Amino acid sequence: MAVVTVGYLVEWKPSGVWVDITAHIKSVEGDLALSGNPDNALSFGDASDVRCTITTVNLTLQATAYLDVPIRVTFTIGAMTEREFTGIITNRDRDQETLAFTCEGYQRPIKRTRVYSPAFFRRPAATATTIASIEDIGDPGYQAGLINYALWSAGGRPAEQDVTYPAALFYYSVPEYAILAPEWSWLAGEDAWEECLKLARASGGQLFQGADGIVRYLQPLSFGSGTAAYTFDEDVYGDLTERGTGELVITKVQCSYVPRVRQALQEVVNDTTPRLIAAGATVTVTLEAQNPLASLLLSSGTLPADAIKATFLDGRTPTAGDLDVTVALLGQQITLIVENTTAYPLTINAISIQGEPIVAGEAGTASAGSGDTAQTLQDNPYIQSQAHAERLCAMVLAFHGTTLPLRSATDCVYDPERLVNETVNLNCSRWSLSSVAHLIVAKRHSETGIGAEYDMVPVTGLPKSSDFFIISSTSYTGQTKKLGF
Amino acid sequence: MPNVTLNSISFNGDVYSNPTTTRRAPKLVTPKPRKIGKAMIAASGARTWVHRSAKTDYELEWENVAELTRAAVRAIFDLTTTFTAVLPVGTATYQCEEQDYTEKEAFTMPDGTRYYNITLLLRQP
Repeated sequence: MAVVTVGYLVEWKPSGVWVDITAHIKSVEGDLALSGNPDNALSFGDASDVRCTITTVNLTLQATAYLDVPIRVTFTIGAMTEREFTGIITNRDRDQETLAFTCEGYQRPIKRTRVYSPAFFRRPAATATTIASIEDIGDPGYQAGLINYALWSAGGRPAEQDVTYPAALFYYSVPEYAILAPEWSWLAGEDAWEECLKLARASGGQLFQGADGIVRYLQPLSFGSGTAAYTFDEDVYGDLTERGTGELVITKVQCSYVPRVRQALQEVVNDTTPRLIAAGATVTVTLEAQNPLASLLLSSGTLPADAIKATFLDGRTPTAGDLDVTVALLGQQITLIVENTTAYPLTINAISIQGEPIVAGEAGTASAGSGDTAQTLQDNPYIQSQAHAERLCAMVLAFHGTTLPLRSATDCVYDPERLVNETVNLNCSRWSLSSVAHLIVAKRHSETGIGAEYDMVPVTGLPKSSDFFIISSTSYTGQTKKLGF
Repeated sequence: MPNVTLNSISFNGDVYSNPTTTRRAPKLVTPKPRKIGKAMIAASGARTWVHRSAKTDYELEWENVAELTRAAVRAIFDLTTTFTAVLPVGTATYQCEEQDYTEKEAFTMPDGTRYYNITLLLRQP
């Protein structure tokens, strides 16, 4: 392509509808990466960033509140039009002539979401999203993974069901199930994004937001599974550099695990805070157990009669029906909605709840490989069995036991069709590379859709989905594959 | 000497016109087309022109004009908005920036009347 015509469109949504603010845009620059780890582009569960800086000379925009306003950038080159950035405005700098908006992806609202969830037993960290998958956490048939749960709670909706949820804050997508599942998984009010990253690390996956704004969970066997449809060669890049990662080659991986065991029914909450409930009034009592709970002891869907010790102000003891108690359990959090159905005020003196706690057991260590160059995986509450730890170690060793140099193609013409997580071929006559498959792990654009740089990692030889038997509806005949890590 | 109208002010006088009552037409109207974009050169030397848009500016030149014309041209340069210009090529909107006006004294008559050489660059926004 000797001559290409480029264009751009910048829109923001300060009040419910997208508004074109393209006029007077001075510059748009940004980047997107698969992994936030600059030393290891295929690391599991490291936070990746999608960022954009938009500078405009339209000072009238400063009259509009900017914080958390959705904003998106679309580039056109030739006949191709692609969304390059979707996110929210997190900061604004200004001088006498320009406004510069700093924009980030949807990590920010996800990080600020504090989620409580039920405790899930042996459920994949992320389950595949489809047009029919049940993703609504309020649905009685909910069977999706904890990452799905967290993203839904943060306002995300499955991209495959965008027609059903056209006004979602953001969309998420899980093309394939996570290949490892913790024994027990739950959310207890922590930073939802950090918990999703922990789950991704425990299952060997990667969580990132694409340029289209969709937050995706990728299981690692997908990295090497793509087919290249595009080739980077000397006619495409101005320069090609390589950063060796020999120091990252490991021969042994170690990982600790902390088993979680479901224990027998026992007292899990004993609260003696006095609570006054006026006649006919309702109070909400939120209690936190020391451990996540697999179940509570209930009677006809509510607490047993002796779970709540209460007295009327004149000393009488309430009888059956005087208190109406609704119980909800989310992981470690128990929420009681207590209604005083009588005409007299009463005091709750003590609440004693029985349940089955999921308690941490004796920690252990597993490993894969041997030798002196060892990597110890970060402690993770979602690695709860020796088998899980061993499989994770084997997976990390398979991906990082060989050198994976990071190759950067710079001074490229911006190409909206080149995406992070896309498989491409790379040619370089000086390095004797010819049609070597690479995964694009990062993309940086500049000069408002004119230039781009791409980071890529060779994926030849990496484990991929087709190396394994996948338990589903596929029939295998006369094939030799692996069962798993 | 092509006649022009800048911001509804006519510059249509010739050498025979009264310089104190008729604004002189410019001696030259020179187009200055420009392409906006960037040339990207690949490792192989392959060149790609990444094209954004094309614009044409016009440079107007006056020679030996009197104060009436000088002041009128200067007033166009001093505008703080865009304006409509009717040029031989057609009518369009233009603006003047920074140092788009130059003025040099060509000569002074014995009675003190000054004559100027002026250039004005009209930029397509």
